[in-house]
Amino acid sequence: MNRKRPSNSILALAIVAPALILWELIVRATQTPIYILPAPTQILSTLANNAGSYMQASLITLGEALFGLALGLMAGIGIALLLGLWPNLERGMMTLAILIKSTPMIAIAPLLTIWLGFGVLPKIIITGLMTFFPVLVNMLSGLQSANPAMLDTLHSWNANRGEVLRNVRIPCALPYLFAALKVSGPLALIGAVVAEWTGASGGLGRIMWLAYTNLNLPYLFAAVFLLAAAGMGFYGLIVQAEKKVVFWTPS
Amino acid sequence: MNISIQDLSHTYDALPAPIEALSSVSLQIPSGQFAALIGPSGCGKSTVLRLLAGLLKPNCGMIYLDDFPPPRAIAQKRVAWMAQSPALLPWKTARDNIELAQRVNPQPRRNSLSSDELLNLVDLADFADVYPFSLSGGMQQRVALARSLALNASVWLMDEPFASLDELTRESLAFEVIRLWHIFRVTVLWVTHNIYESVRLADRIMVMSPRPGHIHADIEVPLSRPRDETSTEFLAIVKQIRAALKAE
Ligand SMILES: Nc1ncnc2c1ncn2[C@@H]1O[C@H](COP(=O)(O)OP(=O)(O)OP(=O)(O)O)[C@@H](O)[C@H]1O
Ligand SMILES: [Mg+2]
Repeated sequence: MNRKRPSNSILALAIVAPALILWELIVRATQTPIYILPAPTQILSTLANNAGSYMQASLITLGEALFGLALGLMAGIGIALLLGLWPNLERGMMTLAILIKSTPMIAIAPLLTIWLGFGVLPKIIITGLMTFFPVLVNMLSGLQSANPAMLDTLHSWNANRGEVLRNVRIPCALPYLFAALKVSGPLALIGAVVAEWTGASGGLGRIMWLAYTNLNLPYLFAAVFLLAAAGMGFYGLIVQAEKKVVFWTPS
Repeated sequence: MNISIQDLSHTYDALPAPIEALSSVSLQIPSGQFAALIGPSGCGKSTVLRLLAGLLKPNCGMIYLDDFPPPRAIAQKRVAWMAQSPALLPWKTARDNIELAQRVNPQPRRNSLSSDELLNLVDLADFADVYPFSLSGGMQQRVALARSLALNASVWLMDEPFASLDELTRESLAFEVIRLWHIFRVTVLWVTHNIYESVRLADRIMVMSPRPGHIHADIEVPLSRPRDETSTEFLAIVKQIRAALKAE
């Protein structure tokens, strides 16, 4: 198992590196102006020259994404557990959840900024709103698709709802929860950036917005590179955590 | 614990049409008897056991375990139900699976054996801390057996518990059950497809008709254990059961 991991990152590198080289060559060969598409070397040198401010912005955005994801997780898991205990609530609750889900965040984000200011709080809320739905839906179907033979066994002991939930339904739902996390993890970064884009005092989204309004594309792309790297990092962490937590499923 | 079933019928609400699984089943099993239930596939054997275990509610008819209807007996964990799949929780070790049976709906006034003693009984003392996915099918069923014993129930409902195992394992586990039955002095209702197995194990064999099932023949096995499968008495009973199964 451990020998597979380096080969995976080598594989990723083997795909990404040629793509970057090709990009570099095309930009140079066609002499594309920097305000249309900067070459990867220009982007990376921008990143290196402004390492400090990018670092600070990344920390802000990552923090917002993590707290927002935690919020979305708590809300999604909490509501799913509630519906697992009282299935009668499902229809009403899911209608509400779909209402939230189908409201465009791009419309809510500026409102929250007006109400709550340019700090991190509205970003965390937006990220929470964006990430909770996949968690809720997956967790709920996980709770509902618990192994029938195990459920029968617990029912034959006259286990109460809480005992069934804790001992069978929740562990059966964990693989589903990780499937949701693989969606919601990277989504959390997008949520934080989108929220920052609509007005923020710091963060990668703000850098992107500033760069965009000044047509400073190397700046913009540098932030995009950082976001892509962070997304990959999130995903990798989630995969590692899944292996540890859901140890009983055949890999 | 006596098992008493009177005029039990059960129909499943299935699509496109309801399925009548049992029609007017009546039987009495005295406390401490090892009774077998045999019949063609789909005749409703599992349905009888699920009704006894409180996993289904009967459409009509009466079920009593001593003087209690199944839900009361289940609430006190007087009934151990075991099916073909061991249904162990894969995220719990053998010991934790067994202890879960004691922790869920605990009955503190009825003390049962400890998980270590139970693992000893099924000969798995060395595998206490192993997860089910590292156990063979037969070992998993032995853990499931120990888990059923952990309830310290007075009735064992066993729905082809070893049917998915190979012949050798199945036979040795069946003898294991006989040994444990002697120790615990419980009532057993054992569902099987296998005529030889039923004669090898049971005091009494009830033969069910095809669906909708009812008890079609009720055959005593007046042989002492261990039983000689080649003896003429044994083979005579086998023949009798075979005839009863064919009669339908
Ligand atoms: N959950 C269910 N819903 C609808 N019909 C069912 C259900 N379970 C069983 N049946 C029907 O009831 C009848 C009896 O089923 P049951 O499982 O009790 O048979 P069985 O005697 O245990 O068979 P086998 O020996 O194959 O295990 C079958 O015809 C089956 O189609
Ligand atoms: Mg069956």
